[in-house]
Amino acid sequence: MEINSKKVDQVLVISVSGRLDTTTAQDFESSCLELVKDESRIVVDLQEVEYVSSAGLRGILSVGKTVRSNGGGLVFCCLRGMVKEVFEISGFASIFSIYDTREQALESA
Amino acid sequence: MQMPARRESLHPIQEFVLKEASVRGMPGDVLQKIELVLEEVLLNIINYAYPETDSGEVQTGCREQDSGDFQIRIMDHGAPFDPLKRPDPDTGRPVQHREVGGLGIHLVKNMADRVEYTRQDGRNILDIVFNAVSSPGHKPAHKDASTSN
Repeated sequence: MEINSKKVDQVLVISVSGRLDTTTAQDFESSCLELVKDESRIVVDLQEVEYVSSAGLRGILSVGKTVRSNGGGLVFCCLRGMVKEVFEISGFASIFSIYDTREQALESA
Repeated sequence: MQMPARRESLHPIQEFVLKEASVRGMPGDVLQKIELVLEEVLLNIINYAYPETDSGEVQTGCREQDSGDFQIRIMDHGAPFDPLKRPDPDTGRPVQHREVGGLGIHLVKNMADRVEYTRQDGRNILDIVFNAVSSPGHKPAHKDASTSN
């Protein structure tokens, strides 16, 4: 699992790649919490994520809750394959805003 | 395959089952579902089946049914626990009120085509079945693929 981030105008874009599972979820959570600390508009790009389990979802939820409780907004983009399916089954696709492309996500973040 | 119910056992068991499923021609998207289901079910057992001892075991087997479906059986000797009886999480709650518990089993029930729990001879037995062709839109290479012995 790898995390990269960059600022596009006022929006922080976090790109994740690899697997979000029981071995990587904590690392994902702590890295993201550090990155989003002083940010209010965040896009998480999951294009390169090939696998997510409930442990990964817990990390995502924790980051989402933190951002919202700080008054910020967090959206996701570019989900594919089983990641998209897991988001849908778990209801994450309805509690978070999900966009097909990064451009759409940036406009809405 | 019998392994100690510890985190180190997760990947070897996943590898073993995925190899068997792959040899039997399960498509890539189903292999990913199998991997996920194994992570969720095994972690449950590893984390909760043997709260009072550190030496419990988990037994995992798999086979291709006559129908071509792929069956995984996971057994442990822990206290009776039927994961299917756990209430589903409320997937419609907003972020701030969403709880994290119960998501794993919810994923298992939705990703697998059939899940069945049995308590027998002091064991929890979970049978998880994936249909030979499970995802909508996925077409088999041969519609009448033979399963002859």
